[in-house]
Amino acid sequence: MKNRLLPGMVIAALGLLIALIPVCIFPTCTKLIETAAGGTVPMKCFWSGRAEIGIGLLILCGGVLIALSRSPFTRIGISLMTALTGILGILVPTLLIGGCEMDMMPCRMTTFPSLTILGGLTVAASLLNALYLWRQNKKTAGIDV
Amino acid sequence: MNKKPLTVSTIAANNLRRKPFRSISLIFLVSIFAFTLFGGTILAKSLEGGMDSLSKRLGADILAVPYGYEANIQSALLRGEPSTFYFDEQIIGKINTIKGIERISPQLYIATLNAGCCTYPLQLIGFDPKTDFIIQPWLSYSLDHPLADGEILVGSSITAKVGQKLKFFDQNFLVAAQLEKTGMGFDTSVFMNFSTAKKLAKESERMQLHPVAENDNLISSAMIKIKNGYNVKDVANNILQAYAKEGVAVVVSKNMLSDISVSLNGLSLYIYILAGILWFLAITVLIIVFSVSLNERKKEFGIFRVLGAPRSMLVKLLLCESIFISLLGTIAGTIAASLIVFPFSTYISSLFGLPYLQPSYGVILFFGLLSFLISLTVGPLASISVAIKIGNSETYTTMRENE
Repeated sequence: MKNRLLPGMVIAALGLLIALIPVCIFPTCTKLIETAAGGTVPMKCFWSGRAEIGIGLLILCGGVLIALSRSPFTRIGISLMTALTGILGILVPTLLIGGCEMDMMPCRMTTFPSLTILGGLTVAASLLNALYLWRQNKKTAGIDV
Repeated sequence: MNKKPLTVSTIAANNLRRKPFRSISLIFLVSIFAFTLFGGTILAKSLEGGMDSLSKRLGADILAVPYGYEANIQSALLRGEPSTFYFDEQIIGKINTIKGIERISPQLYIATLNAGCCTYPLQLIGFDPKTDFIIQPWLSYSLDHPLADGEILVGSSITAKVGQKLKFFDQNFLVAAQLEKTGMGFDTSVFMNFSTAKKLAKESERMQLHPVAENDNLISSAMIKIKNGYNVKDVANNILQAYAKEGVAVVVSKNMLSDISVSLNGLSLYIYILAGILWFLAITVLIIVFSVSLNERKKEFGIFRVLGAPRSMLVKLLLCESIFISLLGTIAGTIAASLIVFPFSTYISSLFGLPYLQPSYGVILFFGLLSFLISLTVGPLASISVAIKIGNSETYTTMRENE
């Protein structure tokens, strides 16, 4: 039970933080860009933030599923998927969508560094959980034999 | 089945694992100390680096600005906060007549509303390449030709490549070079020659009224270098006496730097005092915890002795446990500090509002290793007295003591 709850809760908390960062903890830049036609569009970082909300919620669900699943193999599978989602969480602000060009913009100063760190921690926590479960499973299998 | 041999380190690791709450609390305590020591040192060194960079790059002894804008020029230099203030350029000729002035160069500040790259207001600085002695010295290793009309130099915090075009006030400018990181306001500034700056001010008139568009003879500040043998304060007083009535105010660089330096020294001192208190606290708590646990574990140590373990092994066991606690705490604290100090450096520098220049990788590595070693000593230092006690105790009395 403890083996399921602790990693599940940690990963779920990381996912929740990833989802909340662009919304209220370290919001992305709020100013709008004026287009040639006179309209306004949000900056690139806004869309990165939107994608991160989805990624964060996915990681949150992964954490909840790890806590609820009984089968170690299912938990290993979910952990690996969560680790990959964490990598996606790092790639969105750094490579896939990106953000503002200036270092002094709020997204570059706070939002993206915190998302990258949380993404990294999600990857590390998920992989460690998968490794732990795999080793535990190997030990149990050894005893059974 | 666990196939690991029963060595001192495996027994120590198992002992720590058996009491997870106690172990995690002690590791957390050491990690707070390691976090403060490493993070604080990097912060203090970055602020010192920013200060060094400011004193090296500023170059001018006196800054002449319009009366009432002394704080604005400091904000522009330290933090790159966009400001617009102007006086007549004839003042340059007038100030130049005062004795003791070696060089004088005007600068023109234009603040943008929205830059093409983003919507962050930038400080555009126009300078005269013929008289300039502030920007030119550090242009030479970034640019191989004099800055032409329509060309700009960008600070290190502006993400633009050489050859790329940036748009300000609907005009495209060619990025001729990017400056090295200075840790001061220049990092977020854009530099151009005077004619380009004046043309830009006229273009900006379409979006907002600009004094430079109305009057071509305006400048924002005059950077003044004093001849050797003259007292900076005397020259500054002479400028004030002669031209204060014409709205000229002066900022003496040394005073500005010493003001920052005083606040910086205070901050560094607080960081080191805090680290010292935490070091003392960590050692004290660990001594108390090891002493208390020694009483609890007397029987355990007695059994080890009965089973044939020499006294030295018990000392090694205690030291090994304390080293594991220190090592894990130090690693956790150093990683946590690195995850905050490095990725959030721009945010931290904006919070301080002071020049902030992170040290080189070599310096970071040196201070990282130093703080790692200092943090690592916490556990062994705290456990020495308990280890000596255990080493000197008799098996029989140890076994019977709690009965």
